[in-house]
Amino acid sequence: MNTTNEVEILLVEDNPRDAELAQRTLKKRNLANKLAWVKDGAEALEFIFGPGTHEPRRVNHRPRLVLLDLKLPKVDGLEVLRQLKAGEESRVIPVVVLTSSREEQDLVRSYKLGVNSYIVKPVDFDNFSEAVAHLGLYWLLLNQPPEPQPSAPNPTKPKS
Amino acid sequence: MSQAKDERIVPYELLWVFLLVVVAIVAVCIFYYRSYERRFRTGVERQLSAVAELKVEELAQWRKERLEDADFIFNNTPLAGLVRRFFQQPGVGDAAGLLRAWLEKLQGDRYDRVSLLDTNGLERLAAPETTETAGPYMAREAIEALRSGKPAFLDFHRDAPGRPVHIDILVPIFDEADGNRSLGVLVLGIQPAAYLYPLISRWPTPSQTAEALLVRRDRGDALFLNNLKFQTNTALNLRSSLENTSLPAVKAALGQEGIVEGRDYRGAPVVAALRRVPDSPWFLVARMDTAEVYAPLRERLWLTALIAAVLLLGAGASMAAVWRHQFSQTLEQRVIERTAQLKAANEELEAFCYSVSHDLRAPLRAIDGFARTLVEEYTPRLDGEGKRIVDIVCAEARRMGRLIDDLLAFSRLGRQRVQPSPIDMAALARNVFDECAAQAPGRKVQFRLGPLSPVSGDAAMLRQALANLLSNAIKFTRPKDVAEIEFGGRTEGRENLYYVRDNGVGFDMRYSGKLFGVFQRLHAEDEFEGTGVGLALVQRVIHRHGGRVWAEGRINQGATFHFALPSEGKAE
Repeated sequence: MNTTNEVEILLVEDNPRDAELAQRTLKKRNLANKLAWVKDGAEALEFIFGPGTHEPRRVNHRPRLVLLDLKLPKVDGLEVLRQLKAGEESRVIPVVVLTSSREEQDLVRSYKLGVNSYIVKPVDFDNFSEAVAHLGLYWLLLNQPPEPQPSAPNPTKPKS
Repeated sequence: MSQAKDERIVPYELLWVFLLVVVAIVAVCIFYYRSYERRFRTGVERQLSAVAELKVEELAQWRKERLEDADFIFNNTPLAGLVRRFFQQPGVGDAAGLLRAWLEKLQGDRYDRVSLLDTNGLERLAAPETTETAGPYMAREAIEALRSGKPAFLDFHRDAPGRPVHIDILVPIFDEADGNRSLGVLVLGIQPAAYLYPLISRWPTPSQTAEALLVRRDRGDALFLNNLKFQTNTALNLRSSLENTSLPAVKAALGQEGIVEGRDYRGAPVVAALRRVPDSPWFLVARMDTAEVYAPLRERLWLTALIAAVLLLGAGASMAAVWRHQFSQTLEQRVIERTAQLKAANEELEAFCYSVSHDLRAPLRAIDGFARTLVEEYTPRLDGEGKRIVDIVCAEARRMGRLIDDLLAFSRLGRQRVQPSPIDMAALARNVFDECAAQAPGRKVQFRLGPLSPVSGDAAMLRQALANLLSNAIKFTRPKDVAEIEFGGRTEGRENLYYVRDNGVGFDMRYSGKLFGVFQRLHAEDEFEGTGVGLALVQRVIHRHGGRVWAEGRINQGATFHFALPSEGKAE
């Protein structure tokens, strides 16, 4: 078992400017101390599950929050979301989609895949930083996640 | 590919088939008519020939009988004796009485007048007995007959101008016992009007124009011997030069026989059968007007044409039906193709909008975000002007963000399906107004809501439209101390009419056409903020519902925005 809680927020964002703005905002609220930033969906999956592509996967890192952009190189956000929510262990990780897309189909599909929250990035920086800060505060400080249960029933990989 | 499809709309194969059918129908009809015409003509000719034949036979028979009578008298010795006695001693015995009785018997019903002339041509006895005596003409002919010593047939003639037409048979009588001494001449007088003319002109079948006529050659002319149907007093009066060969009568007189066509004495086109009467100078013409001959033929022609027309019409109609069928199939095919194309185009547009909303907004967020960071983190190093400039950068970035958002909303509206449901307009308007008013705190707004008919429509879309209209009303009444906004309506025919009236700054009606265009604004940005998409969006929503939208206004006297929705909710 290699799960660590070192990283509290995983930021999946291909746009470095948006990533920097998000980090600045979180930093200002002291929420970005343990933040990891990956630039595409493949990196995000690798970060959480480790290398390899077979499913279901063991969780390598268990961040307390994933901020996920939808439009990503290589593997897109919806696929990352699907894989996270499909894994027995990874499905408890809160995922917040943070996207520029106001398209209804994205919203609907995200919720169908089990997203925890769906935020449209505003152009307005004040609103943006407000939204990001709220997210961080809520998911990191207020939300009570279930304790990691290594012995959770898993028919394919029974724990002994 | 669609090009090829387009060409299929013009049904060339069908046209060819149709032309072929038309040609076939026309050909069959023409062939049928021609053969009918031929048969018909043969029939008519046969009829004319038969009539002519009959007449000729009757005439020949009649002549033969007359000549036999003449022969009988010529070779009658007892008669000669009786005549001799009559001339030698007219008062003695009963020779006169016997002869008279004999003459009367001979006259009977075959001759009009039978008379006995002496050798000088003077009439001595006649049956019936009349005062009328033989003229000098007859006397001349009688003497001539005695001289020639055989019976003479005096063809149609007049004794003198104005006298009736006559045929006379002169039989010289000789005394065999006395060395063939001339005794006198017996004249068998025939008035053709009594028997011969009716015999000629009688036609065996009912006909308007058919007649038979008799001509003989008379010097260089063809002389008509009987009276005609269409011209009076022609017997021995009407003649036509033998050079005038278009006349069937002239052709006949020239010895032609059989069926001919030409113009008759009236100038009318005729068909005629010509025959020579044997052992006579007569030629018979049995003729009929071409118009009458061809009347049944013309009827048949019309009938044939009618049948052809009906057949052509039928062919045309069935071709049209086939074409329409094909056409509708092609159309259906096209609709399917177009729908697919539209769907593809829509999907492309959707993808485009997706990337616009994502990619175009990201740099704006960065501009706004970093500019703001600059203000926050480098405040000491920025003077007032520097800060103002950075604020402008931020404001413009946000404005562009709003433009993009509005544009996307507008475009999404065109793609969304209208999902109709019953809508309580009054409740919706109240709800929307409260939301809009909440965004303009500190304003005094009087909102009047009239009674409104409910309507069927897409709730989300109509909400958007009302939001734009009401927020506009609130926005453009800003200079007023108390804004008055009224939302009212009525039902008119099949439409529900609604209006939003305000007492705001209004607009110049000259520019009313620009009101509903995308990015069209009638006010400066620093006066009234906005992207110029709102009314375009309103219009699109109303149009998508099958309604209409229009506006009235005057500068500084408020504006009224009307919209009409079909009352039965006929959305799309």
